[in-house]
Amino acid sequence: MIRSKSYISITLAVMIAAPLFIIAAGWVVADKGTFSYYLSNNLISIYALNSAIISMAVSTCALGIGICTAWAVTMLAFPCRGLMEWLLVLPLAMPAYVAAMIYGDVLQGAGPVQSWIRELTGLSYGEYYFPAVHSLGGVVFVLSFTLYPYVYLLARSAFLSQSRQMLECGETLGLTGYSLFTRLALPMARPALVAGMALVAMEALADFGVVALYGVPAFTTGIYRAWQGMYDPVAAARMACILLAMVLFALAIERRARGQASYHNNNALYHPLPRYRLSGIAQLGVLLGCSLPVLLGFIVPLALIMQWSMEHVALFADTSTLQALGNSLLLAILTVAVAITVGLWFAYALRGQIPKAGRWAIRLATAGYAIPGSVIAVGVLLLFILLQQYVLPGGWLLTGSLLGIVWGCVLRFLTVAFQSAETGLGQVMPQMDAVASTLGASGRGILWRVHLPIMQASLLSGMLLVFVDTLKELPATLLLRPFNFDTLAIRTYELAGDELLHRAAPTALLLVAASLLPVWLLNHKMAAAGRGDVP
Amino acid sequence: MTQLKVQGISHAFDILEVLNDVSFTVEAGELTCLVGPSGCGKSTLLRLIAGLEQTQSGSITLEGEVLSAPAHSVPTRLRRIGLVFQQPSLFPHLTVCENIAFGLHGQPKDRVAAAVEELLAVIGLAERSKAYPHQLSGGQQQRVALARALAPKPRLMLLDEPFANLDHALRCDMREEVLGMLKQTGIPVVMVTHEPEEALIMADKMVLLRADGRVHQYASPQEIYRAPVDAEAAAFFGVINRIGGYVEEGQVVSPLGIWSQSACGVEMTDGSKVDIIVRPESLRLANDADIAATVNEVWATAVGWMTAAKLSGGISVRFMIPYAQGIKPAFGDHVNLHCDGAHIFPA
Amino acid sequence: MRFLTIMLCALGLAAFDDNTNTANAATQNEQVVNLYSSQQEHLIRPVLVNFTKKTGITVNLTTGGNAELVTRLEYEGENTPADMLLTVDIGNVYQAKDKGLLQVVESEILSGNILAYLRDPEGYWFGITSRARLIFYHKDRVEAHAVQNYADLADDRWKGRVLIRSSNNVYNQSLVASRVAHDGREAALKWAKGLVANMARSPQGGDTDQIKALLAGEGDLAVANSYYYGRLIAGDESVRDPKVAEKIGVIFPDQEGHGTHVNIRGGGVTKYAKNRANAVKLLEYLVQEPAQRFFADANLEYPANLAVKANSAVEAWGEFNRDQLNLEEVGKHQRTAIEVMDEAGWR
Repeated sequence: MIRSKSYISITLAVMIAAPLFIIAAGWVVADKGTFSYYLSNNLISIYALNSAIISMAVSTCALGIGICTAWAVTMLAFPCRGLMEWLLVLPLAMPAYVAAMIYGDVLQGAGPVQSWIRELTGLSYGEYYFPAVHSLGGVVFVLSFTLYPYVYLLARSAFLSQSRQMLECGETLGLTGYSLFTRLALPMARPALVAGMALVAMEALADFGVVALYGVPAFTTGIYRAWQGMYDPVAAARMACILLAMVLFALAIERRARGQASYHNNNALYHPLPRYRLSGIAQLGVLLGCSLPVLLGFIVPLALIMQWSMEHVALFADTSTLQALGNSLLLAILTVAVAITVGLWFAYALRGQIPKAGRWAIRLATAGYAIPGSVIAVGVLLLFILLQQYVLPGGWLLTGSLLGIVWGCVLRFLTVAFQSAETGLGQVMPQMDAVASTLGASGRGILWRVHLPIMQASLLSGMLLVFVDTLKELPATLLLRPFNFDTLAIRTYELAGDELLHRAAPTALLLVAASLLPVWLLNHKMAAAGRGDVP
Repeated sequence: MTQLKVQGISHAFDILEVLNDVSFTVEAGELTCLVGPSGCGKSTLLRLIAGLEQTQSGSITLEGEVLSAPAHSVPTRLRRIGLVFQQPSLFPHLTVCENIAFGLHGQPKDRVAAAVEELLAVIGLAERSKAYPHQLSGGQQQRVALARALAPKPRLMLLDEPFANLDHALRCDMREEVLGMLKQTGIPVVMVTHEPEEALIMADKMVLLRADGRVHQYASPQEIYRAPVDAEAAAFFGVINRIGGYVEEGQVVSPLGIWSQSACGVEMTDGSKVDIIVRPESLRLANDADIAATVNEVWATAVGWMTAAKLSGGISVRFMIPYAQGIKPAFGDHVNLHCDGAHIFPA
Repeated sequence: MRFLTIMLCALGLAAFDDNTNTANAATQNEQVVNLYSSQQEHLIRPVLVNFTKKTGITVNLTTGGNAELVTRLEYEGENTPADMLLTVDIGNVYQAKDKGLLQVVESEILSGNILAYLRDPEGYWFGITSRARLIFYHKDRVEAHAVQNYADLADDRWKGRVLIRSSNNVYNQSLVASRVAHDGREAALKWAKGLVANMARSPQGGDTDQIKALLAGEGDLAVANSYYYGRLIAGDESVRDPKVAEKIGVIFPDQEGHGTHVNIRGGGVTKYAKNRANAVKLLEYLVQEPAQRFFADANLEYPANLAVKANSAVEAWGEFNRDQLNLEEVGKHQRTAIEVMDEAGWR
């Protein structure tokens, strides 16, 4: 029984990861010369360098922002603290490419900000200093301020779950304020922080929209160029493999951090943490400091989209817009359902005894987060074509069903679902299984009556993240959708791609709005889980 | 009627043998303690009985029904066996009430409610029925765990060091309380412990396991105390004096006196060495006694002065002077000791 | 596992529900044509709706990136559902033909209406609209006749003053390819190097952004497609910028030489089209009056059909000589063009 289950897991993992294997086959197939061309012209190293810089800089910035804001809202008392706690999550609802598109337009030389500076000072372009937004720095700026909530959410849960006794113990040992934070709270929260940072690093590696918009050569743009310009999917696949290796490296780091991380105290009685009171000016400072990421990551772009939307209000009522909204939601719900089911299955497989090959297959199947959507899409596409040729003749599979698009999204976001299932399962002590089965519960009974309720909070967080991510997903959905299937993200991208930013605003606004409810729920759940209110 | 019959159980993890030909029986209303050094397979034995582990050889029978034998295993959920761990392992998402009712799933609501209410009254937590586990103290949690295990009226209870996490006073109270509850139900119980005191108070029978997984001694605690099979068995109940001696002309000669060789139970030739075990409570002060010693160290204990003294031969022994005797020994005092009894084993 | 199966079934159902049109179309012999288009939906859908109204043929549309659609078509091979491919820029059209994804269409309507150099001499592909890659100058800072040719962009005079987007962009790739086709690889490389040296900033943004940057003073010359300029002076209210009309001037390059580089948006019938007749009908519809009118007005491009006039705003810039080199030649040199740009350091 155990054996047959682990074989099912391996088959499932291999099946889901099949598109990645097909991409890896790019090393077997002969190169048309593009890849060696890239190598000999030193382009690969430039891509790798830029991608590494972006990924590291963004994850470091996001870590800084996430930690500071999370610490402030959990440990300090200042006006509007409760409101800030929730506002800080909002940038999660803002797709990075939308923010990039807006900042690019507003901050460029011809944009309103610089025009205003010129009008005010009477200087002309080039006579004053203004940082270029279409640059590596601009990419880091946009990605940091839209991705930091991953760190913020995890850090906040970690800080909330730290017991008061522990911190009081620190105080009796002579730690105060700052040193309490750096020597006790921060090290204790480290596993959560590293996990958040790894998520951000992977998102940054996989980002295409922002780097392409700002013209920074990175792996994702290199892949795009090999494919779009050189028409050489093989070279694209090879570069995707290198990117995949970088991702697996990031994942390994994350896993090691979590391996040493079983120090959360589940059984400790929960006491609300005492919040430090600050002087009036300090309170104001903290409030402003916390507002900055919200402003830059959410409110400013939102305000601009809203303003632009005003010019095209009629588009809101357009049936095709509404249909795109419906399609976006449908796709997100399907992806969530499949991803969480498979994620759970894998988490259980790893909990039991499974051959080493199975472990690797699962690792691979759950590494899709950092692979650019377009690469995953090629893999899925090739796979479907093989299927259609040899297994299921007839072209309806891709063009007539949502199978391909859901497959792509699941492969891309399984990482998140799987990790949340693993975290949730970690909260179930093995004795609970034993006790439940002595009390007459069958395997399924244990799943439904013990495991799922205990894992509920983690699972829900994972599901919401997958939901929001799927709503925002772009290149994979664009390539894998069936006929006449439009989503909000696709519409936004097409209009923006045609350089009609203002016309793209209403769909972008709907996209943000559709993400808001799940983001709110996510925030709520994670705060509750951190406090230890299980039910 | 014999309730639980464990017969010839051997178990190994890979090549590491943890249980070796273990057999014992538990009658209705009886409590059997499994004791032994850590890692000797006590918990594994419980898991085998509960069906959480597959039997490799030997069999387990409950009320005449074969539960486990190689290639035959009744699933845990159908065995109707209660299990309580050292950690309460309560389901964190359920209230006290719901935890207790967990094993009554599928029964009519009013019957469940009545059963839960009854058990809540027994464990004295009626007013905390709506609380969640993390709101209870350790003792309360363990009581709920016990009630939860009892709720489906199990045919057998397995307790795996159930009081180990509690503080001393609470542990004493809980022992009596739980013992009372279990005796009342008449359910046979198998309990793992490493507290000699606990085994003495609670157990009807004890299965003393050795580190290699063999049964060392299987008897009532009193019997093991009175007639341990060897020095280790004797040592289970606390501090002992272990001194060497030898056989000479059919007699055992030692610094603590001379015994007839028959006390040993086996024939031994002259000159063979023996181990002599004397419990501290078997040595007492007596002015007319012939064993002279010099007091070395003194500790206060709950019942009297635990005293260490050096015999003339340089051998150190420990003995107890009850407070009732009104004597407080001091360093350097010369005392005479009388030995009431000893266990003698071939060395 | 069962749960998973149910999920998958639900998925299939949802898909079926959503695509009843597509699924039923084939079985009921309803007239349909399946279209892969890299032209964004808002620029093509209105025409397709009218086509359906007129002919009763349903059009199923999938939009996507140029290479993505071509790759998809390539991998789908005989099983492709697509009957027709519409894409942007000769670079992409040529790839589709080169990979054997298109078939020859012989149609009086097509060959009669479309200018010769905007369609394949063999009949694989047809241009639907054309656009010119123009040079723009800031009237305050540049004399009207200071620049006349693409070659001038590489002239030392304009060091640090030329605005042009990234080499990832297919319009630039085709522009360079046309220079390779006319002057050879070496000359094109020399030109590209000169251009890179003259860039006002590292390439960024789209064509519109180049014109806006020109207006803001980030450079003195900009390269962009004709319709982007058109939109800024005569497009949607939210895009229009009166300052552009006032300050930015248009240059039609190479009037004395080969003529201004023009490109197309176009496509053809796929090799394995299952609804070939309908696809041809759609193609013919696209190059005739009402559709051409829509393209000319909605996106301010030049109609491929000479009988249809460009939008009046576009007409106002005046007539110009177009590069008559068949675009087939440009497509052939696309790859060389990318290598040239990489070598020149054009980001």
